[in-house]
Amino acid sequence: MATLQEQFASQILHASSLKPGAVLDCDVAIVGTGAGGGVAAEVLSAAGLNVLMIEEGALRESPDFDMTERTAYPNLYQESASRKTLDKAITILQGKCVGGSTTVNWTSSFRTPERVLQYWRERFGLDDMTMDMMQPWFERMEKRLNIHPWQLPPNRNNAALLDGCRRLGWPADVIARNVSGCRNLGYCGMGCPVNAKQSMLVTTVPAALANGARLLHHARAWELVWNNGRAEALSVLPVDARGQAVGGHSLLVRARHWVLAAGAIGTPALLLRSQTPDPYQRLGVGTFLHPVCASSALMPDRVEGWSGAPQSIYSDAFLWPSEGPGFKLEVPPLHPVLVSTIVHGHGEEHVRMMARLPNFQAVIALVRDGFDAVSPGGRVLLDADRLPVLDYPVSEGLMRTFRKAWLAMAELQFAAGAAAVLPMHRDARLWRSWKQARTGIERLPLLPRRANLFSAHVMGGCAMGSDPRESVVNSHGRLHQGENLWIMDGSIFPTSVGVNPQLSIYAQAARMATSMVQELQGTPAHVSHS
Amino acid sequence: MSISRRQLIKGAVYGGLGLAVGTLLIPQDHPSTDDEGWHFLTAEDRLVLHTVLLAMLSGTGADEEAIEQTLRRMDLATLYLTPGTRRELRQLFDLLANRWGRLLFTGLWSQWSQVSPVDMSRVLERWRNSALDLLQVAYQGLHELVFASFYAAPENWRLTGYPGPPELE
Repeated sequence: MATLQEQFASQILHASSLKPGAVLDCDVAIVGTGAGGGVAAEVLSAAGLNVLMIEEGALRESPDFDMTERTAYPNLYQESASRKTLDKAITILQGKCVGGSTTVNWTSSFRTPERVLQYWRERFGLDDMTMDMMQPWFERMEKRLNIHPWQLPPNRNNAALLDGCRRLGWPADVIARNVSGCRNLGYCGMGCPVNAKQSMLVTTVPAALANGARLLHHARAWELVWNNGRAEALSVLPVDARGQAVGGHSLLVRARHWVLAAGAIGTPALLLRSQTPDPYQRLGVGTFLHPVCASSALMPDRVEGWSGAPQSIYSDAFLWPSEGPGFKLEVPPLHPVLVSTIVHGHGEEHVRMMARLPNFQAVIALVRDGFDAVSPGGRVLLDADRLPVLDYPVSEGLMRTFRKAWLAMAELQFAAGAAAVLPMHRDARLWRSWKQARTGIERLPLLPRRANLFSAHVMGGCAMGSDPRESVVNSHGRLHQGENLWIMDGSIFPTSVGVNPQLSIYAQAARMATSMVQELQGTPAHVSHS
Repeated sequence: MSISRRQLIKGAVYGGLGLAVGTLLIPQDHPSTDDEGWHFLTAEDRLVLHTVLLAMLSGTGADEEAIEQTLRRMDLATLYLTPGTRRELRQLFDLLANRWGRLLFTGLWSQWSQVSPVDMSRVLERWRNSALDLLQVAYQGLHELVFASFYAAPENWRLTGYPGPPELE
């Protein structure tokens, strides 16, 4: 199959190839090509609008995806997959390439739970957010991206989660995935080498290009120029192959309308850099991460956690406790570089653990943050170079939730037949029985930097809501404080969504972009189901 | 938006590894590539890191060539980080390369080239479990950079039983 580069050469622009000071005009400029920007680009271009997609990362396609971590992390992830929160307690995995995180995610697809929508209606006055209203958008995107429960047997890593849950009487179910002709390889996180994953890179972005949209890549959206409540222009800094700004060179984009979809760190950062009107100080406030803690186990048999669909089973046994944040249980793929950075210690100690890699099994707990006092979220700040840094303090209450999660995961792993369990906490030991692990986990110091914490789901920071005093956009994604700017990415969520967020973002972006077209043209937009 | 004073202070403590001992530091920038193709790591950094790598990679069977290759990959990896993160690394390396910084952080009197892997391993163990955030963060940062750079190389996968990616026909 021809690459986008081959099919649409004249519409695809490398920012550095343009003359300094070059000006690009369009009807709608979309910043970001991930879950939100990709869908918006398809809907808006299908309505006949002249669309320019602006992407900070590179255009890499299936022939570039060599299934190695050393190629994938520097080329497809923000900060080489080593982005961290301000206090360095949480590592953030976030895509940076055409397709955004959808190019590198593990394909897990869930509708936003009704309980989350209910909380948004009651707490944030988002009366539109009913399941009846959202259902057609979920259905439309499920059809568009071929989202179905995974049909093949889970790999051994996921099967352990299923076994453990069954033995303990905990609920567990099969994950729906956005794939078509999946070869069950296990390398979703490094870019799908066979274009089976229905990421934005192979669906909406090509559709937008076919509709005549242009794609500007290696282009960092830097500052919007505001004039009387209208965003008039955007300065764009070309970046090199390593993501560093190319000095002394900038471009200018002029658009009648704007869609920001640079993700929940990038979008607030752009608005903060641009001195966007923010009378109630809401920009970049309330950033949620589904902070993740993990537990690894040594199984008596080979698990080969690098092979097979990375996520196919989940359990919500602990997602909605009677009080405090709950957590969702899933498993991560296990490849050598990522594992080596998490395995504790150095020298012989590290070598001994790495040698057991084929027998590793791991479970992760994704904490549903943003619904209670112990998880008020973080805040996007700008550093000395005006690049974003996320301050996400880990509260004692969150640490207590992690302890509950380590206990649940250890119990589950022993129930699934683990020979030993090691919670990913620097003071934990390889414990040989559930009893030993339980005692050990109860004694772990609840200090954030002693735990290995992660996030692959950055949400919030430009919350939607009905009250401009506590939100950034309205329920249609339109900026409260500006006339011609919409936000359509994970930053609009007023809390975390409690499930892997891609489908929630797709559905919101489809809904918002459609209402944007109606507003601009008075006609409904159409998304092809081809 | 203004960053509150508290956030600024927190940022300084966690972010600026060198700020706690700022007087030891001479601000430096190393943007250019030297004659031997090193982008970020200076000769002094490499001396420090050679000792760190001998300790961290002990048991892997890494020889001088493997250590050199790991250092090269670490050097390249820094180019993909944000300027802010590179500044933090620079502060850490400058601090360690400095005689007084070395003494303060490691308690070692001998020059880096004279430090044995066993002594270095003991120092790393102290950092790993230190009550000081600064040292824990330094340990974690080095741990990630070193092991990611080492296991990125297919020739080191033999230590893990990982067969490499599947062949696609």
